[in-house]
Amino acid sequence: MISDYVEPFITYGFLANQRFEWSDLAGVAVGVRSDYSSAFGSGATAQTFPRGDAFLNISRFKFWENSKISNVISDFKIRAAYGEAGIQPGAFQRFPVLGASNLGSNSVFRFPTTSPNPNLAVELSKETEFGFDLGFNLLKGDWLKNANFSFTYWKRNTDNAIYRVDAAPSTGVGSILNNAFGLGSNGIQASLNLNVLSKKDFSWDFTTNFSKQTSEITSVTGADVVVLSAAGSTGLTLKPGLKIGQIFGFLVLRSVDQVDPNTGQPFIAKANQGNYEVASNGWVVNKTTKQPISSPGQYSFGDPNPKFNMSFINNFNYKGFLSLSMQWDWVNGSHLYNQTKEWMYRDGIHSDYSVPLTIDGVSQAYTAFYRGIYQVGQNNGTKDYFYEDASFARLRNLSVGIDFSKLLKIKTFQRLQLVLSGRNLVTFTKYTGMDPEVSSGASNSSFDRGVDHNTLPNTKAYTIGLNVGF
Amino acid sequence: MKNNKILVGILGVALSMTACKKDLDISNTNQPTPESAQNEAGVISLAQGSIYRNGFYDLKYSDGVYGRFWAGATGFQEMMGDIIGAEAANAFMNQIGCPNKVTLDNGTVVLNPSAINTQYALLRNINNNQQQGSNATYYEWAYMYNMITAANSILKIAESTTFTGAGAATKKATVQAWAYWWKGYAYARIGSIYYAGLIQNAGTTDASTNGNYVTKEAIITESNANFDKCAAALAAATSATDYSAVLAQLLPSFVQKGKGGVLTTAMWQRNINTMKARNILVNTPKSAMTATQWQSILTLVNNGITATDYIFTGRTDPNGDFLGTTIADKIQSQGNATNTYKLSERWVQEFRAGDKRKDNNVRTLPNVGIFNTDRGNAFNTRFSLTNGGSGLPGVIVYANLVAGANEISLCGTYEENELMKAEALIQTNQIDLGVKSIDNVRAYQGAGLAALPAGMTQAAAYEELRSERRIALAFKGLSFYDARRWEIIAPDKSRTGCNVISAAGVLNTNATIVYGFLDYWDVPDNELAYNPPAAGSAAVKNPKQ
Repeated sequence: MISDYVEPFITYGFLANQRFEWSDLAGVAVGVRSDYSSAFGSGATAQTFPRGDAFLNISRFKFWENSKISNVISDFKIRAAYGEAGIQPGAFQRFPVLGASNLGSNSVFRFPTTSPNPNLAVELSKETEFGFDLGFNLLKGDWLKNANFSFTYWKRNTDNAIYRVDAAPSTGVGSILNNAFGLGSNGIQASLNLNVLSKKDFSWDFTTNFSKQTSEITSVTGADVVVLSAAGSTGLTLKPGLKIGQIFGFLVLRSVDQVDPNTGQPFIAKANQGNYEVASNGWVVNKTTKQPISSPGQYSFGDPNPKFNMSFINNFNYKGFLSLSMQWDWVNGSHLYNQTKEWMYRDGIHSDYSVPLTIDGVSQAYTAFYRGIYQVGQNNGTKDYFYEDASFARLRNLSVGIDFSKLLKIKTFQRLQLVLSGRNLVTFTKYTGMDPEVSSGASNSSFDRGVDHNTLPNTKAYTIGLNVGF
Repeated sequence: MKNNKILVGILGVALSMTACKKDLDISNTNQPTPESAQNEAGVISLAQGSIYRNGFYDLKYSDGVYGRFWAGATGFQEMMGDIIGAEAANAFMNQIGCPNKVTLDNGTVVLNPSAINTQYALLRNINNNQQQGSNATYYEWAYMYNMITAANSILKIAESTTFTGAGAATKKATVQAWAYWWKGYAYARIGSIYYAGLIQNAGTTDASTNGNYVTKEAIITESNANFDKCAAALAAATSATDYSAVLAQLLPSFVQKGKGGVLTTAMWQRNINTMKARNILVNTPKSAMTATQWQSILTLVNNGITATDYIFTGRTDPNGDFLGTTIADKIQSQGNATNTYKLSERWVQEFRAGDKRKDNNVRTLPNVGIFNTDRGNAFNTRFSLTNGGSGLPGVIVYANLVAGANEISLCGTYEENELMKAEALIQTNQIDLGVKSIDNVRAYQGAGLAALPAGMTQAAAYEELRSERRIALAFKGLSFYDARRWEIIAPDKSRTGCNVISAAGVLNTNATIVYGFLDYWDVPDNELAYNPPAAGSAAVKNPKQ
């Protein structure tokens, strides 16, 4: 079967950028670009995107260089930038078309399930950032000679993000491409680099990086956008004011008089509360059936994204031939929905089934409880029992290198270095799944994260390498 | 000097940009545009594709486990009609047909084991936009409104299309009859299951709707009105050759065999009458039927589908079809296995001794099928269907996986017409005449049963009719209508004398089942979330709690 697909795309415009610098004291750049595109349809106006950045190297001013501060803080530079960018609709997202299907040996017209939108506008992003870099001269002597510190704060807004939104079924259309929502995000990044020790034979450098970011839906056109994670049955909702990637599901009750946040009434009617108790594992169970109970409605579990990420990198070098490098990564406050565990509960193959719990004084590994967790609310539904803390600290990289040409003073080789390294060697985490660093959702999605569904974990890797230089 | 060069440069760029602007006017040459349908061949092609594919197949949500309209949406109705059961939980289908309570022969009560243990509560819980495709009540609504808006688009396009030849008026009338027929069919399905509906006159390309919900009775009236418009258009299709030529292009070629040939206008008119009779019958409880209504039904069915008439049919095809698979194909299985749909014991018990339809199709599993007790209380079964039948000559076959081998009926059938006739005759005390119609249906399907005797009581005759309806009209998405109008589905009603296989595999023959199924569904939340009721709308939720 031969097919032929043609996607014409015509774009033109102009780009102008001008930079001004005064020695290395200060600099300013401004620029603009303006684009026409066939994806906008004919008769559309051009999209114009300005940008600019500036820096000021305070430490190069005479007053700084002449003062005592320059002995301690050798470099101090502040910088800022602003830019706008756009993502245009796909080549044909504005053009109404008919679909075609085979019925028997004939090809017939039909209506497509997703309707294009002739009024689709360009997705616009605006980003601002500012920051500073500092260089320190610390102690005289071998320890803590100098340090560099840099810090950046950034803020970005995206408006008119293009997404498929549901249409009412009575329109005969499944979904319409629309400028569905706006996103806002901001964050900080900081890094500190220290010469901890620099002797003639031995040096030790230490670097640490810190980053923190948060993203939120700022606006939604029309009704809230309901999406399913690409990782199976977990439900996400894009609602204004919510952090991105929030997972919605049933709340499995943890206290017998737990109150419904929407109505203020207890989930379990007062008359029935005597039939329930909190089992030894912290979940409310029915004393007779041993099954747990959940809220009838679905609620947000909170923000699955991490509170912050840090890395710690240490580099050691002895007499130029022996080098050791070690990197630890720390992700704090992230959460994962352990869908893999939920499917294993369905099939009764998870080791939790043999963990006993005490209900009404009797301690047993109640299958009815674990099976009930799978069933409660909805078979295979999203529920907070499986929403776990996935914070972790991981030895990302440990590598040792020995340069034999320097060690044994071999003349023919400039470098003969044997490198042994290991990745992901040690992980500390409370997450019960295989790897707290997986995401089974749509790749590169800004909001489809936080679900672990049968994704292969990252692996420990050991490598041995030889670098040869002549 | 430098300034001049810069100025010239900027001017040149600006000039070239204005020249290029019209190059931006591209079009998508990979797919047909609505303009492609604006001619005779195009509108006929769109009329076939949009009705069959948009109406029965292509939807924004789908799941292969239950399938498209003719296996999924109609399958859900058959579950509520206790023809089939399901163990899988996709779209909560194991719970849609799970009765509230089963009382076994020895008095043991087996309740619905689900976390939400009544169908009333379940439907209200899953009818939520966040459930997306897991909301089982979404499907029939969405498919049928796809069909209605497609038909509206076809009518609009046909209005401005130039048809060729001397029979141009007939060709246009045929396309219009086609659109009105399917609108009538779709409104009939909506008004027969949803508590309220929308009268939608916009086409698919308008992508618009209205929020004026009307009662189900108003929807049935709209259905009948469209059937009447279809009849009027058929009357205007005076040139028989042009009419047949167009209809032969509207019907997919692979269904034009068996009962699916090119209908004459007279046959189509009879199809209309059968559907109008169905509209009366399925939406009125049997106990509330008046003599006038029976008489209306009789008038219609006496001019309804005959044994030699063509009807609207569907088949599978290896190159592409609009079924995907059928309900019977999702039941049939081999060896000890059962398929996604489990054949209900309460259906198999309807067969009379010696009914060849059972011998040809129903097979006994080597081991009794016992399914997860936490997913249902009434779906264990000893039976499944045989793929392709057992080869008894002249006997109907339900399941056949061979592409194109099996024919399913989409709208009315001779059997349905004849059984409505039988019921109307029996209920108006013309019992001997009525049972003859039951015999006709049995003979037509190759049942090989002896003719029913004269002088039967009304109750005995009605019992024959009841079981015959469940067998002859099985797998068509009609059995829930019967269960509802026979008033056995309400939470305070029950069906006695049931065959039930207990969780231990023991056959009970006098079990009582309390179904507790909602008679008409609330309007799906997938609609209400994006199209809330306007002021003055009818109630969109069934008040039964």
